[in-house]
Amino acid sequence: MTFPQTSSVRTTTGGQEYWRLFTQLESSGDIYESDVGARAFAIGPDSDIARAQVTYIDPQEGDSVNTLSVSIDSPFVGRVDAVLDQNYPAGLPARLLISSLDLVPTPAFKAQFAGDVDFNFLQFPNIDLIQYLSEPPSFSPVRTDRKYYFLRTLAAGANQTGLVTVPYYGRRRGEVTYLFSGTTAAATLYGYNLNLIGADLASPDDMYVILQTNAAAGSGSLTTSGRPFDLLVIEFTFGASPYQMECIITTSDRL
Amino acid sequence: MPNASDLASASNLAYQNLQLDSDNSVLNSAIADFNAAWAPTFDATNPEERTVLDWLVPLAGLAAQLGATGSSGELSNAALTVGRMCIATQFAQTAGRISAPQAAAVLTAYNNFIAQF
Repeated sequence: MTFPQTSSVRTTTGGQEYWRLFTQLESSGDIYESDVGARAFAIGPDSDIARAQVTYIDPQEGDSVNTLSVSIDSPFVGRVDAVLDQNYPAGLPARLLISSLDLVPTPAFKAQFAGDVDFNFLQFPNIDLIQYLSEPPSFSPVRTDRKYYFLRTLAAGANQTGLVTVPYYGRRRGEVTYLFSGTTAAATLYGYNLNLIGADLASPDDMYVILQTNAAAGSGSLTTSGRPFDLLVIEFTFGASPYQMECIITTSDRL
Repeated sequence: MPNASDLASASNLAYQNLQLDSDNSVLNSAIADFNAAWAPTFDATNPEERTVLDWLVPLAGLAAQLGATGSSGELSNAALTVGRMCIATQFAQTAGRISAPQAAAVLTAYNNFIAQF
């Protein structure tokens, strides 16, 4: 998580009509604070994750702890107060607490890929949550398209492998195009659902399916649509002496 | 269930351990006892330490709302919350926001109460 986080109070005193929590997530345990009340919550346009959770003190429930969920298609409209002069039952001031409901891969994420991986690009997801401080405008329930560029110059040698992993989180379409010098490469596109509570200690991130496999000389492309995965993983396996690989990945909420 | 050797393992084992707590009809008290054991080692006025301590709020909410046993949905929600808290502790220690003894206190509390069976 980005620490220290942006200040919700500074936004309020500056007269802005919303506070934006926009930062890269470091782990599934990242949690953020808002010291001001809200009139609505919505996932922002630059979010990679699709779902967030707000924890608050609920006067309708006898001042007990309650949570609400916000997703791309389901913003929350209604008053939610931060009550700093009142404490949660746990004894902490009753701030609004924000966390991602979607899980975040660990830095060592390479899942079932046994043995050495010659390169492993892992793009961590952003959270973009808009907290409206006044009546919200109409919502547009889509994230902006994301485009990722990867370039890798490989050492000479045969049978090198590499992984490129990007956030997906229920996007509707993903497209991968790649270009390489040298001989034939094989590319496999995986869809991953992250699992924090796995039974297997060694590889908790093991919920995946192979979406598409392609072997080509010089270049190729892979696509997926309408599959609700957390991550897209592209595994490259190169033949003899490839010296450079370029890969462009586009993800979109539109079909 | 063997004790968790580190916080990542504690996270991964949360569902299984809480299921055993539920089977033994101590689900809510296990979470409450866990909270009571680790929370006093953290300073609520320190924003760096609150990157872990804030998880006390949803955990305390769970302890208050759950019964001594839980449905599969409640277990899943509880395990994700406990697991996220363990991961938060692990990353906060790595980043230097909390001390090693504080992280150890969380793991000890987990092994004593969440993984008590």
